[in-house]
Amino acid sequence: MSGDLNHDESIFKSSGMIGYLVKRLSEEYPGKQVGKTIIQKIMYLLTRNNIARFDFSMYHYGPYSSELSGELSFAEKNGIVKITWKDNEGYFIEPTTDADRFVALLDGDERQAVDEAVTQFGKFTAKDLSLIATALYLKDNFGVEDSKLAEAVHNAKKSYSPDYISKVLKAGKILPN
Amino acid sequence: MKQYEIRDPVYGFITFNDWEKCIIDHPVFQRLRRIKQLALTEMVYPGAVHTRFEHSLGVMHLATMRYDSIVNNNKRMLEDHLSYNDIGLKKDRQLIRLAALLHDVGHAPFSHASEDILPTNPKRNKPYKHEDYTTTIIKNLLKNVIEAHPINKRNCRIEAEEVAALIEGNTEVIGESIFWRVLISSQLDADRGDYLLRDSYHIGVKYGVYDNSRLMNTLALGIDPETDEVILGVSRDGWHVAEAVVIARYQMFAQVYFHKTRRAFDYHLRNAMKKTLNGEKLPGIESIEEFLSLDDYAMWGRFLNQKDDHDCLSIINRNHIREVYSTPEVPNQEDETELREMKSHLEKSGLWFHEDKSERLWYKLGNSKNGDREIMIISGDEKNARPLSHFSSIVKNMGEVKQIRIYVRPEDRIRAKEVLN
Repeated sequence: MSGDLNHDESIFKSSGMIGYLVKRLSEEYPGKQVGKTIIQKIMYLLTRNNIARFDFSMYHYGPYSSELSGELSFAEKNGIVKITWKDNEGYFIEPTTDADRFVALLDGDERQAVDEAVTQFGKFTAKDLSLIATALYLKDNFGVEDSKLAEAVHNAKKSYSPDYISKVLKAGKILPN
Repeated sequence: MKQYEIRDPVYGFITFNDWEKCIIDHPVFQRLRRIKQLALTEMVYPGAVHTRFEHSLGVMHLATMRYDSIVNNNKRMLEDHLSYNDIGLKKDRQLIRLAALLHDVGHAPFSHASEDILPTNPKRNKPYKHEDYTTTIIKNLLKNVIEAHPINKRNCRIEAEEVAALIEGNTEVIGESIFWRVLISSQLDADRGDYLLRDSYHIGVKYGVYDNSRLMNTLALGIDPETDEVILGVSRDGWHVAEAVVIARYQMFAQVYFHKTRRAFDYHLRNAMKKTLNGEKLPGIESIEEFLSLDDYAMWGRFLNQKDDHDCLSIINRNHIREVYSTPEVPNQEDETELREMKSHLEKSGLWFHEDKSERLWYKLGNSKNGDREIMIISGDEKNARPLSHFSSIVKNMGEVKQIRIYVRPEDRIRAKEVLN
């Protein structure tokens, strides 16, 4: 008789998902900086859809998951992604040739969900994704209504005007056009 | 304003005002005297009998010291980037003190060891977190003692809702003051800053000790190049102390929080508590009074009345499940394959086993409630930020610990070892 944990899920599953996300972003948007902020915010969106399973907390820079940060480091140590730092620009995360071995741990639905997230959100900058993820966190966790979302995000990020935030939220289909 | 002071083994003295004293004297805060900081760690380290009560006072004290240091060294940046003036800084200092003091007030018995038996939050369809209890208690049971005190009414006008918002990250309520959540929950927060020092002191180890004074003096604000947000980091002069904090956390994790016997007692504790609770779960936030009636003492009473239960007996007699196999701290694919083989051998032999994953542990290095962003090192007038791993080869080479252990019943230990060899 075995214990009380799911024995079948590989400890590399989440790293495989990160590897696939990085790979798809680099394929769809060649030359774009894929940093830790972009990975954090898109993974937050995937977690909302129950595709990824990370726990997020809210900070002034938006929803953030240390579990995901640790998983990213684990993925790097196992050669699934390569992470470099450039002064004044930030992190650059790239896929490796080894990533495919781990991506095989994802099922078809999971890959499709990552593909859709890349299509819908991959075009945004890290700053705009941070606005989108903040809005959704406020909506999900504190019941902020759509009509007040842009103002609520502005309240936390005064350097962005409510109009600009509203425009980004509409572009991300978080608010209706 | 009258100030009170009490002795503290880590800082010498902790001071607080009459308003804070009223909050400390409230029964829900006094309950923290009956919740041990490290659950049954005392089964391994007998000195680990300190409580959430003294830790909470310590976090308030340390958060204040760190806040004062940040404000003194970075006032211009706070004014320019976060629109602070002296009045705003004074109010937020008090807000941080209250949030730090109360951040653990919603802890279940035996602290984090019981978090797996918190019920499901029907609104989110996910288990409650202890922060949900904390914020419910602050917004309801502590509302009056927070808001009605004359010191608050005359000087601060802080609402209970704001204290809760800083803990839960509700920017709709506290706006840009959310920035200070980094002092409640992050790599450089006062929570871990205190528990590393305090746990080391009580347990009698030195693994968690770091140069707190140096860290305090080198806290600095910078700009994140990916988002242009203000971030809390450490000035370039202080990167070695930042490295020391990371190493201290790793050492405490490996030697204390994820100690194999300590984790065995977490397993027994979880099961023993389940068996003594209605529906095998702790009460939800809708039954907050019932939840608060439970503390370590109450649970010990229940365990002592259930001597026919093997988990209760394991705790009472200190006869725990035994580790018979573990992966490396940072396993690779081959290690995972070997782990599966080991489990298969045990299954074929009909031996019961329990699998424990470090990633299920609250104290694990990458826990979201801890806000583990990599510590950033701030340089020059431009306040450029670089990750600590850019400077420290030790930090650069540290991996996320994902160790998995297999335990068997004490009477099966020898046979299991034979099966696995």
